[in-house]
Amino acid sequence: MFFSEKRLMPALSGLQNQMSMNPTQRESFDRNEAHARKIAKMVHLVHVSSTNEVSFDELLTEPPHSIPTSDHASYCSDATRRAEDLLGLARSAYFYAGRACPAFGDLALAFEPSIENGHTVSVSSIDTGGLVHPKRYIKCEVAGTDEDAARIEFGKDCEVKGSDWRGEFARFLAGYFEPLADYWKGRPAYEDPEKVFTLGDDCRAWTFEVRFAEPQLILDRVAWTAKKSQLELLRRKQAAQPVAVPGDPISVLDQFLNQPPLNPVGSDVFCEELESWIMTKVGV
Amino acid sequence: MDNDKSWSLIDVNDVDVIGLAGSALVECGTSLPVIQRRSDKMFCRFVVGSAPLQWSPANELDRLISEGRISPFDSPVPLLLPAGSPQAEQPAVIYLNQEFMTQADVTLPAEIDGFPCTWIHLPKEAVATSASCLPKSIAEKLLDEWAEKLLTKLDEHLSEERSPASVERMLHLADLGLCAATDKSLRWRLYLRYGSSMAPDRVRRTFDSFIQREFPDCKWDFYLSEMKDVQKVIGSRGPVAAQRSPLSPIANKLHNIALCRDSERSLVSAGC
Repeated sequence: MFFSEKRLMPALSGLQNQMSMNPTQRESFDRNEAHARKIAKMVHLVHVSSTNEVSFDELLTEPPHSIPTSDHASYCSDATRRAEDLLGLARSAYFYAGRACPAFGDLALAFEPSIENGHTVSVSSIDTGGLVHPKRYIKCEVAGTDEDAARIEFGKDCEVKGSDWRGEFARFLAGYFEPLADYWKGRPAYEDPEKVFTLGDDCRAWTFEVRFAEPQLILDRVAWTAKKSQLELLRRKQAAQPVAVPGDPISVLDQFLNQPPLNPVGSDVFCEELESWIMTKVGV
Repeated sequence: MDNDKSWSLIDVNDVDVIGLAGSALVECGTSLPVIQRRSDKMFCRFVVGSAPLQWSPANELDRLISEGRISPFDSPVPLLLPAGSPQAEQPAVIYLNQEFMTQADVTLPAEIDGFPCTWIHLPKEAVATSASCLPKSIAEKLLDEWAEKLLTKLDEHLSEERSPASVERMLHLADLGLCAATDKSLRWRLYLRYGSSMAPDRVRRTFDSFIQREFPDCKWDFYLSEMKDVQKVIGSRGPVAAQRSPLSPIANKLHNIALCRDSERSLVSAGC
């Protein structure tokens, strides 16, 4: 057997059986597995910032200069906290594996895999908030007379057990995406038992959600992009800073701006630009 | 052609533009349109490209609005196509607020280059803000026209004797101009005036973090000398340039053409 299926998330627990019935899926898995492992090992974690009541520049310049966990009353919604409670998840800072999700926002940040070191990380193969939201944003077919309860059970099963989430992500990529670039540019090529991959168009149904139990320092980003208006706002904020004198520490805003954005004039399609950068970096 | 794919995936007669992606962070700019199908109320960011559109269910719209991820229009508007042009062009929502309109002295055009502009209110903004969904090239042309107006106003101020209030006003006009301008040459000219209007101790930081990244071949010394030259040229005209006469629009236009040519020569010599 090529991996143990006992403690796997739903999409992987039935994969062996699916592939035995579908030689095409087996063939693409075998062909893509090694490449998928490389991608999974390197794939960046992405966070898209919105402006709700806390603007990005406030997050950046105010201590702790971090992407907050859902403990932050205004950065994350009550719906997020409700989903965490239903699924037994800790209050978390939310990232997605390689994808800018949701793509609505003003600025996107990418982080190296190494930011996981020394942190408590939990991972699910789906956007948990969208799955168990009362309005059922993500479509699926789950067994049970009480669909809400069945969704919660399914959501719990979607949590990747153990510490090697990138190993499972590799098998997930190889098992369902053909070509592998379709994780970013398309959708899964094969159906999963709960039809999460086929009933809707929303990529959150097949994007790995990575949660940190602690806030994540924004300055740890390895790449970032933003809309032009966000860059103009940062330029304005920087210009309004007090003049530094020798010996002053470098401001957090200056430290952030020391790394150029991927596009120096900004772009309306900043999420797509960041995803393209990631695809290039991980060799897709 | 890949770009045609996104257009072929929607029925323009079944689609409305309901807002813009993200927020109106500054006084004017563009953002991707958020479109919604009339038939099933699904919505998405409309990105013209090869990737499939990511439709979300209607019941998620309120959440994204409340999180500041979508800025809604106060009523939906149809997604219009430029007559006789290929469908491949990316549409963009252009927005501007009352502060920008006052400072740039602009009004909302009913059409531009024959393309009708339907202006709609963004109800969530603290300052009255109008928006319209246009082909991206037309939206940028409009923004550049407004930025050009601000540049003309700036030059009038640059020729005046400086007071703290006038410097503050120049900085504000240059800042608004940069928020609007998309054309590279126009942005360069605005950056020269922006630097002239800033407190001197702050210019280097802006140069390093923004200007040089947009004009990677431009060195600090070159930027300084260009800034000085522009100030000298404008200053040498004295208060005449600042006084509005019946001929001033033409004079301003000629003045801008001359400055633009100067600036283009500078850009070429800087290798920008």
